[in-house]
Amino acid sequence: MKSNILRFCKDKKSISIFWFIILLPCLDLVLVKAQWELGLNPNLSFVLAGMSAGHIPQILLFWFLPIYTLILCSDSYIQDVKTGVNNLIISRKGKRAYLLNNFYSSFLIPFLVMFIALLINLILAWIVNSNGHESSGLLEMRNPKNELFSFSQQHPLLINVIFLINVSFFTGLAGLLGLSISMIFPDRKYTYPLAFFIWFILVALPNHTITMVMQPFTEYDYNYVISSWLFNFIILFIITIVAYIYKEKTDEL
Amino acid sequence: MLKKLKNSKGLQIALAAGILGAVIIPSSVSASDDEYGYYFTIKTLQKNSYTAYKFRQTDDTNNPWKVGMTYSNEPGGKTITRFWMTESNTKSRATKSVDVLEGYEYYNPTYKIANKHDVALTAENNNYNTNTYIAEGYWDEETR
Repeated sequence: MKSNILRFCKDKKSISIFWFIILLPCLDLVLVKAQWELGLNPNLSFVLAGMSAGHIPQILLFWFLPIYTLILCSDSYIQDVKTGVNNLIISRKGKRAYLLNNFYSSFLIPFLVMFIALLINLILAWIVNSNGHESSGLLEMRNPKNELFSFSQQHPLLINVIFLINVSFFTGLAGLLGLSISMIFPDRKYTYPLAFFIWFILVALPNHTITMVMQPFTEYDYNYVISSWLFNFIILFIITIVAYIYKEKTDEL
Repeated sequence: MLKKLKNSKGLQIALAAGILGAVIIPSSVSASDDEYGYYFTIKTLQKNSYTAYKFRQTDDTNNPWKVGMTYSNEPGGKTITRFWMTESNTKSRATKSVDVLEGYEYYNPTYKIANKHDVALTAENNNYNTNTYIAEGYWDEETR
């Protein structure tokens, strides 16, 4: 674990992706600030709410998530295979410890990076738009049949925090997806396109799109959000489990 | 019977009045509360949908513009689509964005640039998913 974190901190590519993930939500805040001259409500200014025209920062950030998490940390396994370090560690600490360690860090590092990025954005939104009262009508819209929507209107900050944690969680799962693919096909040529392809299918599903569990203040009620949460979680979880079992059963030495 | 009707003076007068009305009314009604239809295919990545431009005659930003959505085949219950008006010369926003719930209509003030200018209704998806869908309804650039 320590070595993985150290590797993340020392690698220039990882650090540049780290700053990319930190700065993209801030770019969204700049766009929101420019578009809403009188100041948008701070709860809606949060990057996840998606109030900037075109949603470019959100699309750049969330549609290509596993590519970022792969560069962040989860392609470290490919590096290990190339240099043969994996065999060294496995023979010293055991296979299970090595695998679990990789899975833990591939979840935790993306989780923490996204959590920090979104938290900075949420705090900045509250500082920059602290007096903002404008809204596109979302906070005033009367839609009593949609319970999640009504709940969001009553507790906008709570909903933002819940979605913040949820998006960080799914970023961790995207990290696991990257690691799983790289364990099954330990070659960058296959890992990156395949991880992106699987993720993009999840994004493009019309009724269970993964963005449904990322965006607060939408028309989707509990039944849509929970079913797409379960659907996406189960798919990502199964891929992870399959990769783990596959790697544990096959011999590397 | 038909011949009688054709020759009747009442019908002739009614026809004349109808034609006269059709000519005169359009030039005067644009300042009142109208319902111009729109039919958009909403796409991702800000490939925005625009209607034809209409001239906004008023000098008052508080003369509200209106948008309503009667039908949308976006998945998920009563759905939301985001609308605003675009000014023709600068292609900039003439109003703030308004999120419209299916089956409802909303009245909102405009920015100064909208007054005495050509404006068009513009729309995009409020979600950042990949869905493409149809949104149908009506709008008016000024309602008083």
